[in-house]
Amino acid sequence: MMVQRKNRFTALLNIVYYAVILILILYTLFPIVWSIGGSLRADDAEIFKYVSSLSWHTLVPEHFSLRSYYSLFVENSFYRPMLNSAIVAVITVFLGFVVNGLAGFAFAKFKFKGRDILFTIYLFSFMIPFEMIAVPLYKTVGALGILETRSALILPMVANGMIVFLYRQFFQDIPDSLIESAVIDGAGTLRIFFQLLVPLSKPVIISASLMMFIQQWDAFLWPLVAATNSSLKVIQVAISEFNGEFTIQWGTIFAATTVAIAIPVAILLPLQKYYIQGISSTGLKE
Amino acid sequence: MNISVRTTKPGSRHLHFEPFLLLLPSLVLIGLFKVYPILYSVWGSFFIRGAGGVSKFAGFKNFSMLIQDPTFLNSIWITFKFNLITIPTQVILGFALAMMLNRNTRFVRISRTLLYIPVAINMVVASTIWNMMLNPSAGPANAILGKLGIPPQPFLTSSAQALWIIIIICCWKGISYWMLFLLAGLQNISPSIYEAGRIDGTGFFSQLFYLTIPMLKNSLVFVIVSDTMINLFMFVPVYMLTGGGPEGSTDTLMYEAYRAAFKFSNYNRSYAIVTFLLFVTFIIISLQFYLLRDKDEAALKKSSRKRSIP
Repeated sequence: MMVQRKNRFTALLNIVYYAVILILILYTLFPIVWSIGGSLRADDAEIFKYVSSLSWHTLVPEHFSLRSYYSLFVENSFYRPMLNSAIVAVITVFLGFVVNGLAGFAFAKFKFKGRDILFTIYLFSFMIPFEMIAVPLYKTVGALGILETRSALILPMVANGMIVFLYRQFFQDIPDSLIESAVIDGAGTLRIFFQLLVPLSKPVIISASLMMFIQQWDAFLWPLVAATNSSLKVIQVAISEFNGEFTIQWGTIFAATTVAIAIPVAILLPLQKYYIQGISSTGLKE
Repeated sequence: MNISVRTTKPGSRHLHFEPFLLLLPSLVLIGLFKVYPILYSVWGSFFIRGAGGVSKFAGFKNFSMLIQDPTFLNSIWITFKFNLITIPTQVILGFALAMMLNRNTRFVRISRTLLYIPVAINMVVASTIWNMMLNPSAGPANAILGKLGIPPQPFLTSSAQALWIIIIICCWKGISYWMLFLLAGLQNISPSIYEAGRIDGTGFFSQLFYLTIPMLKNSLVFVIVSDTMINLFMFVPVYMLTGGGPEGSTDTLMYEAYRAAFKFSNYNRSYAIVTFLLFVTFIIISLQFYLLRDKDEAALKKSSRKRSIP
């Protein structure tokens, strides 16, 4: 009797288990699949038709068409904000590697007065959300006279306490003896960094670069206020302008969101191991 | 030159660049673009722009004005309500999901990959897609509710529903995002600990409260604090979907700070709101450091290098 009841309970638990996960997957994926499907339809009428009568065509287009992508790239010049975001992101990644990598090196392998206090300030600086400093930063960047330039979008994002933390964590595990032998061979500090540490640090460089790229690709509030000039417009601001614009077809907006999702996913997918390693190690190795 | 510099090991004393030179670029950038703006906003919150655009020192005038301002008080209430619902929902569901997905079956592996997808979608894109999902007449949300026998809802145009909709959108992304961290934490717990518990006949709940949660403390504190930081400053969905409305029902503090600065050019009011948020942030971060302090580590710190094992 007992065993039977226990078995029935386990079976019920299993059904609940699978049901909960499947419902969450449905909640997670429905908007994504629906919008990607919507970007591949011939016109908006087909989107609305399968909303008022739900069927599997609500998600999968009846007739596939790339019209929305044509409209997005040719009629709405979406490649421009994409290119702007890509330029800003790539330059940030490159500068960020040098700036944060060197700082991580200093924190990991040198002992100096005020190191712990300084490191705490760096940590604090990444815990404080960017939104909070957006308003005063606007005045600061304005005082430097670089508002409405690419530098305004790049420079404030280069130094990043979290990335310094990642590099420090990684460099600490590199044995001191390796560095000492390079010193004995007469290598200078910068040479030790670029020729000894960098080749050993591929995983952390990849995860740090991915995080910085995604940060810039996703940037919204700052470019919204600091670069209102349309020649500097970044991808997220361009999308937010589509949102609620009645003259633009839903299909075109869906094409834009699909592209905005596809690019980071295409970069992240082959490198997801590094990305997850990066973001989870900032949370675990406090 | 080398007076204040002591290197880790005697042998590496020959490293002839000062560590400060290595730190210089990041120090300048963090100082200029992180520390200075924070100090600037605290400073600026004590000034009021008078006639002719000249700022005058005004003491706590901005703050006393804020406290009497029903818009600000409403924003505090909205931000509080939003956080009070969003944070526990995200953390508890993210944790439950992480526990459910902490297995190694094919079903779980596929589910995990699918549930990670929103992590790659930022709030601007998420808000845009959900805005169309929730379009009262043309979106599929009402069509699906209709199939379940529920009459069409106004969603974002209703002051009773708008904040809930924003919460649902934030959870859509948030649950999987925090699940990622908690799952990484769970996978770090050695299965042998559970086996020992099983031999002692520990039930599910005592296992949860006496083994899993204490072992996961660091990840949980990190997740709760980071989640609070993000939600305390929630801006994008409010900006994109409601503009604070209807009737101020989604007017979060961060949106109010944005509006004060960039819509009404009332920077001092904006600085005062930001300073208030900074104060709250400071309390939360201090609480995190306090909760994460390791009693053994405090003793160890004196004798050896500061480095804890998770």
